[in-house]
Amino acid sequence: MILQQLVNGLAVGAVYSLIALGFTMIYGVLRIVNFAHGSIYMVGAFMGLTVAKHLHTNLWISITVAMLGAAILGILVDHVSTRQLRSADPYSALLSTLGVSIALSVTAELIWGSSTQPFPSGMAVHTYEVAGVVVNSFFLIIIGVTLVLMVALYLFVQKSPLGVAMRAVSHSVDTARLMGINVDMVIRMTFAISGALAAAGGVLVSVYYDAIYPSMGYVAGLKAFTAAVVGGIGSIPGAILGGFLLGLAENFGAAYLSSGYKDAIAFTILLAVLLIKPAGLLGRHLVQKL
Amino acid sequence: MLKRPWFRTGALAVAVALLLTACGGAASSPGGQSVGAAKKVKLGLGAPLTGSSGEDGNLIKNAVVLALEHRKDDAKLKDYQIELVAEDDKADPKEGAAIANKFAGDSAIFGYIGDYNSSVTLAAAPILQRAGISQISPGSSSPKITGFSEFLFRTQPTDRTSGENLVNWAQELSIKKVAVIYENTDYGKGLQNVYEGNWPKTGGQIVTTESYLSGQTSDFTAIMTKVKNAGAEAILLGSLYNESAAMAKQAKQLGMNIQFFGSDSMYGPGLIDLGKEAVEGFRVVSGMNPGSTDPASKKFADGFKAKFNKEPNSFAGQAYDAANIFLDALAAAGPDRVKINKYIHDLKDFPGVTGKTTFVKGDADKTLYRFQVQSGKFVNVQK
Repeated sequence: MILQQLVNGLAVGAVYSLIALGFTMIYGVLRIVNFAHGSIYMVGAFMGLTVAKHLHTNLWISITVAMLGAAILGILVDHVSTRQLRSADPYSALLSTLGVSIALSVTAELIWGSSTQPFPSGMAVHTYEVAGVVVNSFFLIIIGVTLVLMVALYLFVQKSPLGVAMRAVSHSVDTARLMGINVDMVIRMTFAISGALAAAGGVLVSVYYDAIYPSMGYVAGLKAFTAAVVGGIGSIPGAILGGFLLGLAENFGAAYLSSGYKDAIAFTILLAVLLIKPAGLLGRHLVQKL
Repeated sequence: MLKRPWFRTGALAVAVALLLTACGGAASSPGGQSVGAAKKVKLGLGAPLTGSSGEDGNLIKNAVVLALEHRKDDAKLKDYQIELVAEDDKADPKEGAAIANKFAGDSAIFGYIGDYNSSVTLAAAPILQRAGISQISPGSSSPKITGFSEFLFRTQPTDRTSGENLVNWAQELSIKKVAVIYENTDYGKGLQNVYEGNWPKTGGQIVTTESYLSGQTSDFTAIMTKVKNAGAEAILLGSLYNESAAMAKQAKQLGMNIQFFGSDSMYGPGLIDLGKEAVEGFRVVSGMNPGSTDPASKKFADGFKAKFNKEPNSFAGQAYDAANIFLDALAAAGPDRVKINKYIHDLKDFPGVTGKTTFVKGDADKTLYRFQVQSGKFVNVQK
């Protein structure tokens, strides 16, 4: 049972990580929490559904289109909600993303309806049993896609010129601008990448559970935000660690404590980490300079 | 130049708020006016039109729209211009209370159909009671509703009878070990209580009891793994169709072969659309009469399909009956809230599409039918 719960937790954790990465990257460059992120995750998944239903029931095409669509959506969200508020109080930008989040959720309900729908993957599910632990092919796909995306993100951030620019902006916006970096372009790219990662997570989750509904973004967003903070917001390895940690903690909590407290466990961990290590597990502690 | 502390406090506040969101409260408001004879009258409706219960909520609303349309040319109602005021309660008790307050302050409201979720119905009930508005719920099945007030009725059968029927059914199949899984709401807890009160009497054993947050849970693998390891032969559910379908699918993915028993809320096309082959063999009890051939039921079912291009489920039938009861009350008693309440209390064997309705302590005692999913369809079965 321990191993089975480990497998269950890894699948959930992988998706939390993908969404948490978006929170952490946007926080890294803009110092704001993008509350519309959960909605982008949901809309991305629905874009994948539309492709799967009307054009082609191939999982890889759905994921690719969803990622592209959500990248564009990410840029749009930045354009309408945070671009004008770059120099304003971070609270204003945060509230503005919250507004966009509500607008996106309601729009999604109008377009796709509020009920839960199945997600056709166009794939047969294979189940494997190893030493009493049941693993299915979608689990392997979730873990595989998540790892590939994480390695790609790592290479992008560490090796590509744009990645270097992104890290520079995250370090200091003003210095980066003085060095000739187009800060607005970097921020736009960050929103695009965040959106794409979230949409990949959204399609994977919808296929894994064969269920998609407009309110799925709300809880996923909160959980991923928790994961990002637990790992240390602004830190990319932190978001990955936080996501997996949260996924595992929830599943083991449900298994050994009570399933009714599954969500409470996530937020209790958040409280504990904030109290003990406010910068998060892998977060840099910045000294306040005035 | 970086401002960090705002973020920390913000995150802490968010976390604390999340831990506390479980509790909802009913607001209170003064009310209690009587309605004079007015030509323009309003029928209030509260149902979850958006969110994860939105599917059922819209079926309820459409059924009421259909009832009003079918009675448009009724000579007994010609003195009234009836307007339907439909509000979205979002399956949230706070919204339900707010809608009740709004209707309590509107003297043209002669009756209220709602709500769907038991928790929401119970939040709205005290407010409507103070305003003297009769409330008929087409979907709430929690045993808590029985005898709650003089103004709260339901066409939906209570989970006390559904739960007992399911327990007997599982016993008839010589099942010994069951798991109880319920959503953490008045509805889920109501069924949980019925199961826990009745299953031990059969000589069987409840090997595990699990709960989850309704509308926010899509991963049931942790719960299913636990049920599998506890060695349960069957699961008694206190859940809605979408989450039940998810459970059945995830159980299948974990290689489990377990029997599911559920109440009325699963009887509808949604369960099979979502669960596909994983819900084969699923057993439910429902107040929907499968062999009904009377013209009223046929008019309702055909009219619903023609107008909304969707199959009505049992909640739609309950809502259609609730609307017709209010329209009969209006025709007989006029738009007087006190007289309408008395009319509903005195109602005997109202012939509706979901069987005959007579309210005792607000409950309508209706015949329940057993169904099992066989080859992708609900089939009426005895065992």
